[in-house]
Amino acid sequence: MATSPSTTSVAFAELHCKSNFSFLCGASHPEELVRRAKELGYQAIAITDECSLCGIVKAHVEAERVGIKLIVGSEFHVADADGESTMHIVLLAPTRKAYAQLSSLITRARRRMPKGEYKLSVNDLGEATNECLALWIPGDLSLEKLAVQGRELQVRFSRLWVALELFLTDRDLEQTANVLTLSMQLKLPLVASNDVHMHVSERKPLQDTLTAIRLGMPINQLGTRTYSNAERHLRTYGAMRKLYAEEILEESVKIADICDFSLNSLRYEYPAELVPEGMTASEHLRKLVYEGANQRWPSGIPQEVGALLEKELALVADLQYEYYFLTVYDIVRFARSRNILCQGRGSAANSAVCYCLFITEVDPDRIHLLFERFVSKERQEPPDIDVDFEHERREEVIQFIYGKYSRERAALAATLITYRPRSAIRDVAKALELDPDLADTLAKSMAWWDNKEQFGERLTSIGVDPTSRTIQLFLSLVEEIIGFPRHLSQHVGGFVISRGPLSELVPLENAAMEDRTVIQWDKDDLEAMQLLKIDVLGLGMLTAIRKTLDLVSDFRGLQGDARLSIASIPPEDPATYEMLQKADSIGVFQVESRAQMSMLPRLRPACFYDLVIEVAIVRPGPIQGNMVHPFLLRRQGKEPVTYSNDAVRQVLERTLGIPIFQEQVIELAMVAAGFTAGEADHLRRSMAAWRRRGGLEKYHRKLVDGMLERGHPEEFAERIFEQIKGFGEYGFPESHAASFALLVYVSAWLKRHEPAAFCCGLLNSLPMGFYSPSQLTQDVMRHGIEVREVDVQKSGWDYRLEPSEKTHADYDRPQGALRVGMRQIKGLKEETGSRIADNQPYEDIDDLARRAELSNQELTFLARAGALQCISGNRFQAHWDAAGVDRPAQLWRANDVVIPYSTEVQLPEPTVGESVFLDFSYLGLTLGDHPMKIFRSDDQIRRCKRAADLTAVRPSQLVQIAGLVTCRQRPSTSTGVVFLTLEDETGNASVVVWKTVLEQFRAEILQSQLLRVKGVVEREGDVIHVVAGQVEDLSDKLKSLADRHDEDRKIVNSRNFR
Amino acid sequence: MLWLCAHLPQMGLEMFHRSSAASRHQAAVVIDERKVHLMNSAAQEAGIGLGSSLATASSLVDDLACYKRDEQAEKEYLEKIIPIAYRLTPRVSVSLPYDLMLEVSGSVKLFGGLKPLVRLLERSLRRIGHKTFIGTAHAPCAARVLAHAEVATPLPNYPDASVVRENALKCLRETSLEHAELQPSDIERLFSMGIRSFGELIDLPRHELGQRFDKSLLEYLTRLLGSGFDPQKYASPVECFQSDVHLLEPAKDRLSLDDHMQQLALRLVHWLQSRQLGVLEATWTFKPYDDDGITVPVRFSHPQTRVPGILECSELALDAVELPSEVISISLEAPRVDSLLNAGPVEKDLLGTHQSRPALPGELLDRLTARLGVESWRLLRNVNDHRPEYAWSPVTTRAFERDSTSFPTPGHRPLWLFEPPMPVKRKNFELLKGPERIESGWWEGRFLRDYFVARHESGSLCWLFNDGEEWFQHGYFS
Repeated sequence: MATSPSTTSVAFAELHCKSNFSFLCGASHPEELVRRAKELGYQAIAITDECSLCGIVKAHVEAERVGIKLIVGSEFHVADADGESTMHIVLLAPTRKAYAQLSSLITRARRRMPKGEYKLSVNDLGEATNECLALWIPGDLSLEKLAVQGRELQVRFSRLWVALELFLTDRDLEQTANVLTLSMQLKLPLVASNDVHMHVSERKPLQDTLTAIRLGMPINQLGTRTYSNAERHLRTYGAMRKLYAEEILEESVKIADICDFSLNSLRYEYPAELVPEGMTASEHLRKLVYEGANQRWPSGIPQEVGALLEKELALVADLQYEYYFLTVYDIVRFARSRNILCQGRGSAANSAVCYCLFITEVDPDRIHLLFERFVSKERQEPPDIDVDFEHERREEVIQFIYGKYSRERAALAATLITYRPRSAIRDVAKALELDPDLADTLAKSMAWWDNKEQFGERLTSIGVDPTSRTIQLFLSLVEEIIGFPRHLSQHVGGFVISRGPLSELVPLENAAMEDRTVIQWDKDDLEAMQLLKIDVLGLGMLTAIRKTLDLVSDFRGLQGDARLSIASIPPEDPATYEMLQKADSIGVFQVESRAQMSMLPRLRPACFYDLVIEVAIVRPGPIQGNMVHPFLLRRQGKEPVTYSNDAVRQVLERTLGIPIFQEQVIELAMVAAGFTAGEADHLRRSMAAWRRRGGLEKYHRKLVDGMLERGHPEEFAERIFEQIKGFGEYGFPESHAASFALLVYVSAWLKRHEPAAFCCGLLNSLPMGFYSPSQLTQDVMRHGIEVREVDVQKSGWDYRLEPSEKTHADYDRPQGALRVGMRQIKGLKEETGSRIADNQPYEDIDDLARRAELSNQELTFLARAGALQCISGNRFQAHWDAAGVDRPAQLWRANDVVIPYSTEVQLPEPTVGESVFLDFSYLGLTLGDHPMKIFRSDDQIRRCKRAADLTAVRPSQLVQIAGLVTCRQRPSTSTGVVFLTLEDETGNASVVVWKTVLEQFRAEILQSQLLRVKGVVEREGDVIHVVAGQVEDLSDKLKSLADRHDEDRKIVNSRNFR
Repeated sequence: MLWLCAHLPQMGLEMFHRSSAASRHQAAVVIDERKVHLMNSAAQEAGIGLGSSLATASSLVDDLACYKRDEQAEKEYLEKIIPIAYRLTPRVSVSLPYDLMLEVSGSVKLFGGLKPLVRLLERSLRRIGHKTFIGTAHAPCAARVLAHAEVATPLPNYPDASVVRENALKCLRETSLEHAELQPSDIERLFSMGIRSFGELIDLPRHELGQRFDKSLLEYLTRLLGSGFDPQKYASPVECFQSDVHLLEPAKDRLSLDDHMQQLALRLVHWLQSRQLGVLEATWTFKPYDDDGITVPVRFSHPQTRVPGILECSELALDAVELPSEVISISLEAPRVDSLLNAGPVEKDLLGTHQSRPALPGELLDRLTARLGVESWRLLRNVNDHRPEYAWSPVTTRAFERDSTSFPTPGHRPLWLFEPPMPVKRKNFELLKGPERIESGWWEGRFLRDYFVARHESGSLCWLFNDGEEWFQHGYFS
């Protein structure tokens, strides 16, 4: 029952109240509870989620906003001394010390149980919780038993109340009698509280739904497992007055008055050990920065850099962020000492200070980013540095952090997993017993949800009556539940490190992963509490780059300081940019995707900042805002670069008047639409969360009106708003783009000048990036690099570089040959592969089996992949032989008398087609002929152009092409278009399929492995597409590949060809 | 030995989707674990592939008929069509999922040769809607391979065993090993050694194969060549109790039927005992000379195993019908039986004799049912629901007794509830206790009531509620 909010304050404070952070139990957001309590005139409200402080920060922020006292507490079900029954208590934190006790108690109760559970016995209470206030809610037990429980609590809490909670059930009388009796018997004070589960009674259906989801039962079978009525909401004083005596209502206010702890008083303290004794943090940071600067500029720090450093150091000192920079520096220094490549990014990373601390390699000379733009005094937000480490070695860094600061002081931030439309639909449908197929259809058509106006229509189109009562209920429940938290998960790498025990600051609990703990707050909470987190992330490209740098240095015999490093790669190399302009970018960080590849020849990057733009422009933000085309026009000089006024010029000058980066859009909201700094900041925060929580629409009108008022066209304003929405999906500020651009440049330089080593580095770091080993090796072969067969006598586990006689006109230095590694062999374990490599060479198959201790099965893995051809003749024979060497490895060692292997079977040589087929099946790549080369003389293929031939074709010409379908993509940002990549022996061709053609050839386009496409060539500079008109599925050809006789039908899994 | 394998490749689909002229054009698939397992030609033409996901399939065809694979149902279906094969030979076995195996060496002559026999089998299966391919060989597993590979063995109309073996092996040699009934991993290994047909496999030296493969491969080869023992489990027809008595002279009254009914009931009980079954439904048929007579069904609440129990209820049921004036034959069938495991313990005393005891509720119910019909009685049971009128429900079976779970009974409730509640005037009552607020069942409509225990002017103790607007009386406390 909704009751009108009272305007005057009442003599009551709710002390027992669960939010939806008591997962699948509470049915209101903490913010809603706080707001409602304020509306009802309560003196205070305690948020007491069960064994959790997950929702407390959100409640705190809202309480500060609306102006109501928030009490921090938590509810527990505690096993009593004999373990037979449980006691229901609420603990409140009146002081900082009590808060620390509460947080530690939660940590203890949760750390001893698997993720999501807790266990507490009455013996955990007492000394450890003596500062807390306790409310006891007597359960449905005999009076004698309750009296015993009461006494147990009484000896442990000096401040204990018996709470009376009445819900208009038939137990009310009995409960009142029990509570009064206990209060008199034990001489305990009485207080009224309400075990609140929701802010208004209208949430009862949702609360029941959550119960159904929690218990995994349909709602209509829950029966008495639900509450019999909706009384567990924040009630009006009038309603409570009918239930409780005035004094016990007032008692709640007295308790609230005792509590003067506020989360504001939590002061984060940085780890102290980072600063040597006798120095201030500021002095220490300055010293480190100047040491680094002298290393960076051995011949003297340039004057403007010196000035920049001073300015930045002053800002850091002013905001007292020295410890943050020192902490990041410490972690990065560890990584560098272990030769783990890392790279910082984020708002503060692209500063001269970070460059001097070796947190980033983006030279301030190269890119003139203003540190102030990223760390601002006004915004009052902590600086943000994410550090990417080599993905294979990130764990070492994490262990270093745990080792240095101990698990008591370092933990991962939580990520809150909330209901998204898809999961909401699934769970609510199950609770309402909706047809699972219908729910499936709904869940899969997520786009429907975005467009609520059309939703009814869509439902009708799949035969569902949108006006039916069940569907109406379903829709309203789904809408309500979206955004509700479901559980905590671990953040990808956000560490919080503190000076004292972290558990006194925030509770810790176990993550699903073994030996991982997370704190109960997520990154929004940390930001609100101004706690600093450091993101320790894994990045595959860093692994590949580090491996490549080592390979090059070893191959070329570079020692000591001469070894190749990111810093020693020459900047602004024209040959590198030339390569990128041709979209020759397979394997290069970020710009290797199909979309990026078609952007490269249009944007024609020629300097580092062009790469920054290149990285940022192929993103949902600029694409949805329709900013890409205008930018290209201006860049190509086809449209004049103009600005509506000077303020706008200042924001957009570096991107030719077109907003590309996230922060440009925010600044534009200020200079072009009149947002205040505070509003712009709210816009930025809402942007990140709108997919989850909505809340962006209110800025729409303001933005458009503001821009119209200031003379900007409406169409532009709408596009800006679309762009803002796009950023919500994947925010991309300039600082991130700059850090990524550096890795683009480095990886592109390596590909241009050290192609063999770069490909080797990539292949040894898989899985990562877009391309399969087959695609990477074909690319490097097309670049003239020799690739050698996997060979049990010569291959390592990893790919290796071997000296090569081959000369290369394209490269300024000799290139090695790439030897395929045994990591490519299907089924083989790394341990086995390394053992084989360690004992090379071998005399024969017996010798191999004996010294490398190979099982029969391991030998067959080698044989069928073709690695035994050098010692056993053809591949079929090798496999037959390997299967025959069937003696356990132990026997070999015990008895050196070897009965040589022999066989009377002679199997024939595989055909070319069979070899290719076996290569793809058991090695994942072939160095033999590309299947398309084998088919080239077939009637169906003969007249097709090869991918390489397309450059010589004039635009609008009708052509046929054929190839293996290696990539099939339907970008979410385009409507109904599918992009295909067809691979043949000369390279990749890009095919565009428009909606009408797609509908006609749906099956072929979605399922075939080998396609022939008839279509029209479309050209824009070096970007060539074939726009499909007709499509034919030739996948059966692949099946025939392994056949020796055409009439034979064979098992061929054409999926192997990828 | 002459083995036929009737392979019904589409049976899993055809059992749901009979290819009538109308439905032939509708694409239909059978889904197993969300992947296409079988499909018809319309689906194939639409571009659906075996193994593609349900999502892909339904995106290709708008009105796709989609069936879920049920292996148990497939098995039962296959067993159901066994009688078709029985007409040709008694030696029939089932090979899951989609094959019927027939050993026909004994019946070739009877049907005028192998060709007419095969044609008859094919035609019979086609008539009930199945596409069939029949493989012929000297051994069951060889026949199966040939049927799956759709290879027809050329044979004379009256082949002798050696010709069958020779010709079947010749066909087999050319057949791809993908049809071999071996572990997929073994087939893959053979393929990657370049060994692709049965011929290539058969030619390899056995001892070298034995070094490289499991002994099951060698055993399979032996069975394939027809030199190994390959036992088949022959199917037997499904049983159903049916027995009758033909009287020498017509019975003209009930009394003279008793002996015969007793005899039939005894036969039924013997039949039940040998199978550890009890009867749930028995049907008596009493026939006069000239027409079909009258059928009297008798139902039991528990599997019944005793002659007196069966007869007692039968008598009651007979009371309710009019028998033909002259009965010349009596028959008894048992269309529904159930395992005795579901019957509960039989009560006996120490000496094994049945106790004389008051009728159990079950027996009482059987008698009520027999005399008054199924609709004549109801049981009440508690239902776990907050809303008083939903907190109990009438039931006509006692099945719930087995699965009833305990749940807390709601608070103070009157024994006598009004249906529907009766509007009353508040002023006639004195409220004694309450309110108890019940707000539940929102998924079926609004339900918000404040209940009170109240005393009526007359002194009776009543249960009242207010639904926010009006007052109702919902019941009396005793």
